[in-house]
Amino acid sequence: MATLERIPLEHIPRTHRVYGALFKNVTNAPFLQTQLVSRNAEFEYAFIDASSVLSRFHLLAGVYTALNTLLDGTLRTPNVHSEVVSSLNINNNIADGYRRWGITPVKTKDLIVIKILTSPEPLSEEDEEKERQQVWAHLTEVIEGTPVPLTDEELATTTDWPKVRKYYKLNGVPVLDSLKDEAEKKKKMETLAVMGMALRGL
Amino acid sequence: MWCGWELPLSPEKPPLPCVLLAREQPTGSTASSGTNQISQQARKGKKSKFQKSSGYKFIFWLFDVPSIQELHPAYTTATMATATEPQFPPPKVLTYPASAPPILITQGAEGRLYKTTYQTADRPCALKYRPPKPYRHPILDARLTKARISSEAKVLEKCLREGVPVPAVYGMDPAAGWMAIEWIEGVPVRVGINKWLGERPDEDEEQKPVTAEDDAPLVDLMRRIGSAVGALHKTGVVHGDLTTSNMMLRPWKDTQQNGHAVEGDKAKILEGDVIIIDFGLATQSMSDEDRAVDLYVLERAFASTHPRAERLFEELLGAYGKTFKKGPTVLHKLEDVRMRGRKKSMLG
Repeated sequence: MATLERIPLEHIPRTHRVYGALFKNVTNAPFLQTQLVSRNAEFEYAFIDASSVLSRFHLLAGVYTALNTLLDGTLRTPNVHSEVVSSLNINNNIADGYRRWGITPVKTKDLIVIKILTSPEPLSEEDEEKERQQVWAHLTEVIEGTPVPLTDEELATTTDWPKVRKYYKLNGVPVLDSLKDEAEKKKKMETLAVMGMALRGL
Repeated sequence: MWCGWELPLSPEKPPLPCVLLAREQPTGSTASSGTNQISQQARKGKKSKFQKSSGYKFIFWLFDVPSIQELHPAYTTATMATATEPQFPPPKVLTYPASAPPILITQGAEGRLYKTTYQTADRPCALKYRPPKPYRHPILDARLTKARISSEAKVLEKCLREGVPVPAVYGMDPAAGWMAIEWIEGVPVRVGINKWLGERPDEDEEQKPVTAEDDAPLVDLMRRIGSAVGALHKTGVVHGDLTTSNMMLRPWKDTQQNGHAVEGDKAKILEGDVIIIDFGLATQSMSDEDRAVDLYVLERAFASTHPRAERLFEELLGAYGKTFKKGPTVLHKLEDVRMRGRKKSMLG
């Protein structure tokens, strides 16, 4: 049974904790999106459409960028969760980022949830576990879908490659056309996507 | 005209040996017209005439002072060591906990390179950090740092999209002055070649001439370097600081040999993909002149780092010429550059 994962990240203070989960065949995307739009404080999550995400590395690059802007105090969106979604974009258009990588009422079937929690002091292990279970209880209550582990294998089944190629401007890139091996090609696309995110707005 | 000079000496300010170059303005010509003249002349490349017609005189001063210890016994080696002890605070991004502490790999004129991890403990990365310079105005400093980091990242992206072997960028913060890039395994090409040359029987003996087969792995490496530089130039990027230290030799994985035959342990030293690194001085240019200068810099650097392999540089150029259409034109231009040196425009 898949559950909420506590994702360890390098170069992140112990006062910041990242949780992640993947739900397949989500049926109540319109409801979840409405909660986000109405800024319901209980629904402070990063809801990411799994079809626009390539891999864990790709996803966590966005999470790390968002955390870094949070630590810098230079958030450009209302909170760190919306920052995660817009960090996956390769341009600075925030609305565009929400539309492409965020949850959409009609199309979203598979959903990645990222929750970032902070506290003034690092939590003890028991408190962390308690916190994780609280978040998980809320998520399973509100999301109608099948939880699966947030792994590269599961993410690979949900990726919509033509869409990703379009979003990351990977059509007609010489290096991708020259690669024959499909696995190598996907690896390169992942690299180029992460690179595009790193160079956002340049 | 040469002049001697004596500096006022004080224990607080130790004198430094220096050379000054100054320009004396001719009477009757204003500063602005003078500068115009220079730039016009310079564009035409008339180096010799320009000094005469502009009427400028160049004056050099040479200060040659004794070492600090000789002047002031107070400057002992011990106090100097503590004074110059590098106090390098790591960038803020590296102050947060990670599975392993960052390792300072090298320090350049502008920045520092750390080996650290990105996201997970099993993904090593190189973090390039340009610290703020206290001698610059803060606003200017921030702007320059940002522009330099961004331009380096842009060049890397361009190269990667075109399939030039360069490290990928994982993440960056131009305002904070850091950039996390892919960690390339292996050794610099410089180390590989020197190790290879070092293990050969001494050439001074001249007992048996070096045969072509002996050099085969090195020749192969030179060709790979030539193709890598050619691929780089083909995309319209000029590296600006091509040396064998700025190229990495990433060992091939055991499963894929890229069609190269394995020739025993000794040949293994020179095996691997050539990855070009350090694009801190790179510019985007399609001109043959810039490309030829890039090759010239590599040639000079190669001749001084590996004098014993200098004769194989032709192999590199040969492979370069075959990589792209304008290759032969660039090689032709290289002849001109060799005759006159690196700076055609005489500016800077």
